[in-house]
Amino acid sequence: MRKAFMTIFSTAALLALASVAFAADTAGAMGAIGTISWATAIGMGLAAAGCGLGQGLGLKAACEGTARNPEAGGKITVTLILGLAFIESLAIYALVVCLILLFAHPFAKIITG
Amino acid sequence: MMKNLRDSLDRWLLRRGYVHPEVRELVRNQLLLTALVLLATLPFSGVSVAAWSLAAGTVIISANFCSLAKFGQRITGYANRREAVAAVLARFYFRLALSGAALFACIVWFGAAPLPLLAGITTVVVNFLVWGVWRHAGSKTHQTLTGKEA
Repeated sequence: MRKAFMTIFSTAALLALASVAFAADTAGAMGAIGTISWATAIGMGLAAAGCGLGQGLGLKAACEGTARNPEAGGKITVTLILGLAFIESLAIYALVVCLILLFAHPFAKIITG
Repeated sequence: MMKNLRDSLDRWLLRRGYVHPEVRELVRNQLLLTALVLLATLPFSGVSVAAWSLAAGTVIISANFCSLAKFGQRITGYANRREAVAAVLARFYFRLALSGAALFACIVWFGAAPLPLLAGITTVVVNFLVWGVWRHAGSKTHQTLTGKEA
């Protein structure tokens, strides 16, 4: 049931996005800018949500590990900080890519003509 | 001289609240890397956009990491797991907003070059990888010399 629901949902989402993408092609430069804006908004939202989720899960596991074995707390803390920093740098990469797409797009001149 | 610099930086970091030795080592390496990048790029910052973009990326990610590391040392001490997760998430989004504002200023207002900026942000990943490889190599050497796992 769940699998069928996921398949139907993803197919509907793909079909809906395809029509928007085809419409953007015909609408010219303004359409392209609108599409880029949507893409960056969705991309950054997904990146922030995913990174937040990852940090929360990592922390939950670290808290459980420390509670079970307090002597390993030091090692767990270092590993946790490394994990959190890696996740945070991923969010910052996504942010930079979104800013590049919005304000320093390498193909901006070609798109806007 | 290098050892003196390292020791005095260690003592300064300890006074600033970096009590965990391995975390302090990571922060110290990151600060040294930042100083190295600044020394290498600042003389050219007036001439080249790439130079100051690299320096800006390094400074932004170093500030971010120092803040994370300082808070990260006491996360696992939280008695309530939900409280700890809320504190981490609140700080994560706050830091992300600050970094976003700084990156926006760099890219949009000052016209920073994106690739050197990304390279500057990557210094923190390079720091971790070098630290991890160094530790792994050290533990292997210790294992070979003593016949025990480090």
